[in-house]
Amino acid sequence: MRSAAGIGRALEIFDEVADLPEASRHSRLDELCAGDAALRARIEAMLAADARSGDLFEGNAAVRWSDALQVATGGDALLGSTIGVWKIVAVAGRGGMGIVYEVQRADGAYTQRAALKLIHAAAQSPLSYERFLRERQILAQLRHPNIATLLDGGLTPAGDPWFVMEYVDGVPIDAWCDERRLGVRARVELFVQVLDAVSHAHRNLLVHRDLKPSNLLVDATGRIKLLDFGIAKQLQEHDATALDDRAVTFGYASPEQLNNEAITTATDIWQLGIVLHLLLSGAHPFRITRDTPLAKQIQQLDDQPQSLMAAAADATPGQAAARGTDDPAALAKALRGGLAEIVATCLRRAQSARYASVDALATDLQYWLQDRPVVAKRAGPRERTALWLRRNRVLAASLAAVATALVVGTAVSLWQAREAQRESARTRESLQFLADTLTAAAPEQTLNREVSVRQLLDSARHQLDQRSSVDAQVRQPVQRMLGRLYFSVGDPQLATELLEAGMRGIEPDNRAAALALADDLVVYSDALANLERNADSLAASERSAALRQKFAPDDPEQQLRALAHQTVGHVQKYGWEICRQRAERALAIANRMANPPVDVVLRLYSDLGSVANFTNDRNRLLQVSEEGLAFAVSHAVPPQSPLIATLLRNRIEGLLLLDRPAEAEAQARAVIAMTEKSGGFAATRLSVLYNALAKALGAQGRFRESLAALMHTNELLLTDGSGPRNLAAVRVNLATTYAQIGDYAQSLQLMEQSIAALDQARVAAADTFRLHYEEGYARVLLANGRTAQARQRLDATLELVRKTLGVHSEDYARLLVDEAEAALQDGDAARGQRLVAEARERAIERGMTPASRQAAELLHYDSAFALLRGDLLTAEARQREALQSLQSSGNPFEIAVASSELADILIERGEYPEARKLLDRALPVLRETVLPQQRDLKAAEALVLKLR
Amino acid sequence: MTFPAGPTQITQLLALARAGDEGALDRAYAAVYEELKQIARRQLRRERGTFETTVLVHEAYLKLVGGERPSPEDRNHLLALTARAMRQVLVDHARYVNALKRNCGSPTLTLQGDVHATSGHDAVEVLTVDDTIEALQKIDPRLARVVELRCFGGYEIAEIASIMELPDYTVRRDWRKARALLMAELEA
Repeated sequence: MRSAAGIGRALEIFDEVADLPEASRHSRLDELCAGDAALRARIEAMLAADARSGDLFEGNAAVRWSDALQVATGGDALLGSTIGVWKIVAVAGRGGMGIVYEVQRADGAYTQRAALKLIHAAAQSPLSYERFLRERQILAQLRHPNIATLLDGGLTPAGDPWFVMEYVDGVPIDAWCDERRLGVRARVELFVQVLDAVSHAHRNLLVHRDLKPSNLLVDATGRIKLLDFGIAKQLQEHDATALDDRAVTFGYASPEQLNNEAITTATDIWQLGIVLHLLLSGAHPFRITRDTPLAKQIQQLDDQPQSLMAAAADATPGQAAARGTDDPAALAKALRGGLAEIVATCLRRAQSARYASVDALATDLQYWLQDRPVVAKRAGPRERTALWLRRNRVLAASLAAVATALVVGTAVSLWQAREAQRESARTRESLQFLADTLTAAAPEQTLNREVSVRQLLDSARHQLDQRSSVDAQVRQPVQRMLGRLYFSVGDPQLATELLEAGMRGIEPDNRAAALALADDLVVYSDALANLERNADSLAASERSAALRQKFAPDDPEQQLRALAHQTVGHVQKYGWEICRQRAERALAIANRMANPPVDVVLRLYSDLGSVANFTNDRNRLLQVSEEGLAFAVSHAVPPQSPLIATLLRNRIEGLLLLDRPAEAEAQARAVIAMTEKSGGFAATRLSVLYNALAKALGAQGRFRESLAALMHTNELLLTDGSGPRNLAAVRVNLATTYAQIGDYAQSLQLMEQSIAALDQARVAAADTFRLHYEEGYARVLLANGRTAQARQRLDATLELVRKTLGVHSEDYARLLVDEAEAALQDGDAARGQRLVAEARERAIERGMTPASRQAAELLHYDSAFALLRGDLLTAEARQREALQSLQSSGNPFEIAVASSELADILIERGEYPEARKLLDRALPVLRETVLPQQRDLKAAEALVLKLR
Repeated sequence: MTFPAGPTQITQLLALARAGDEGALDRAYAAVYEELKQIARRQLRRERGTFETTVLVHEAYLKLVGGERPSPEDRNHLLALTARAMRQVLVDHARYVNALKRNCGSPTLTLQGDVHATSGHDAVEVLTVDDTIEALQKIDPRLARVVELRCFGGYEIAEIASIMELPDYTVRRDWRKARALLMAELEA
């Protein structure tokens, strides 16, 4: 123990002399120490230390801790032992997510030095051995000169996963560049190698998700080697602790990783952007250094990334010199323009706003290297897209619901024609089999005249199941054929299963087989999109396009097909704008063809309609749908063809958007009747139509009918095995309608059930879908008079919308109105009026017309708040305007409600006769439309009592 | 550890400790200690030579409070406890190294594989700082806390000021003094 007294005295004296000038300090010390040499020496030492820079007790933390912990855990016992065929020779380091050993093959097969990663992950959640091996196999197939090859992998008896990789003796890319003082150009050139490797992996559907300099090594020959491809994903999927592990690479984590959202190839683009930024400027784009506390890191990652130039301007002269520039200003200048834009494009928060692919990023860097302008794309509305997608699940799913492949009636003959060309004994056998099974189910055999396509298919499928001895080469074509047909009759689940079985292991080696597979992949992709398996859907579509590209590069129709096929998966990944452009381009190509493929053209019109729907492009939606339908008529496409189902649906939506609900209703009913009649109907397709019908009815104030249509939608979705979001979407609609007719309790109960269902389905609270849900819930709470609870949710949702969709969105305007309702319930006129004013401003921005229902609603709130303030004159004037607007655009129910509200004001003002007249007209409508306990009806009934 | 140190637990324990329950403080401390070791172990598995004390303590902090937003009081308390626990881990180890050194007469302890090795010097450094803190405890407890937070918690001056609810300049002045003292001690 040190002498406390000695230290105390030394500290006192230090305090006193530390800031004295050198000269006076000396004499003062003489005085204070008064011959105590030890004390004097100590203070001199302190003063000397004070004058030195550098901090104490820093830098060795890793060493200290690793040793302390190894002692605590008993050290590393694995040296000298073997794992699989690998003998552990040495500890190479600690990297990735575990310990890295240097190993050699122990079976003497051949000498091979390799790196073995052992991951202590299994303690919490044992991996599925089978799945692990399967995925390991995929990883092992990843062969690229810039990717460290995975050689082996397995699980230890304790269940810890291990991987053996090619041993890479290299230096992290940033250190390597700095050591060699590589200039900006050379750094970009080196980085392009990285992109080549990542792109290769992406083409094999592998996302790295942990790209950072320590995983990007440069070997002695100057070649880039990427480590750990696919491993992060494997672990993350299996291992609960991986979530904690994410914490470490925070500096490179993309927003979607931080928010625990879906990881796509865009995640790697983000991380590449950070690495590139670091390589070029020497700084982290979010100013994260090793010294940044973790909590601060998370916060900083929410900021806007620093621009490359700003970072360069802040660089040290040494960093600038290491990049071949004279000073930081020169470095900033070198990075201005192209490179800064490229990095910024990688670092867009929205996945779809980043580069669409690593190849696109590489192209831009090549352009820069060739001094050509880069094409870094502008920010796209991905967040908006995602939200819209979630909000409109039912609708969006059917973006892909058009069966582009085959019209039921012609399917068999088309297929026969295609297969017959191949003229093999096998195909003839398949045909015979198919003929047999279909004949077995034919009306003549079953004595049932009304055999639906669906029954025919079911019969064929069962026949196939029973004949277990059928050779795969015969079975698979039939399965694919049936898969396509099941999709045509609207059973994506069975379609997916059959197509999967039918395409398993197929690697086409000739053009015909490749194109046939490409066509089937398109159907498969659509079926997957219907099942909300969007990433799989995208993958299938891209595989299909790749096949066409490879086997028919010169065939314009095949290229058109490759370009034209898009699903929700594309939208989710690339954003609406990109998809729209692609569809427009494809349509232009098709229009230039003498005989464009009808299915493709109709699909394009459908997709363009869906885009217009999303972008609230009211007129375009109706127009593009009409054009598409006209094309269908001129090409003799039968009205019940699934090819035009989306066009018909889009036309209904277009009419609804244009406030033409009666026409929309008529259309919906006609299409529903036709769809139901064609037999073996598609539940998903029908559910979409019923949902549209419900909307059309609701817009006309026919809530009971709307409710019935929604219930039917719900049933259809249940039979269809729809995903949780689809179901919840319908339940939200149902709950909202219950609230409208005044069954508040039922409405609330349904909402709460939906919450539970979503929780059960593990739709995370952060799922953007919940935004729509929250809006609905808040409205139901308001309807139930639970104002405080509603406001709490509304505030949170409004904030979220402000951040994601922005203040110019429809949702924002709508939420402001909901907030106004809450203010009205709270009796807070000032706040309410402010909210209404803002809502009006936003709505006008978005093209609200004075005679619209929306304008009337806002006037109603003006009036209500005026009433609250006791300003009866204003209240009356505004309410009259509202009523005026509704006369042209509103439905009878809305007019009745507005009339009764006006009557209320008139009674306050003593104008009984007019009030009575208004109520006489309004009450029957209200009583007819809603339940007795409905708020507006109750208010109106109360007025009648007042008038007596 | 026989009890779970869940997020809610830690703030509850701290509240109890504030109310004078010494047992609660011990339990909170033990939870922090255990969490710290776990996180350090994980970190060391992942990162080669880039281990940062600050990252460790902040991660431990985040982990311990979970989704909660503890009161500033709890927060400061917890951060201080973390520094103390860090000190404990490292001091224990340094003692162990020192003991080995005495037995083997080797200046360097090789645990295995020559990956990392704590030098005897490093162990002495840890023990010196620890010892100095003990001494300071008697004459200037505030200074002792500053040293503990700075050296073992890895906190920055501003963080220490916030934890101790002192103005920055006070902490800066304290640390200047303490740093000089410690460096002098280490050279002695």
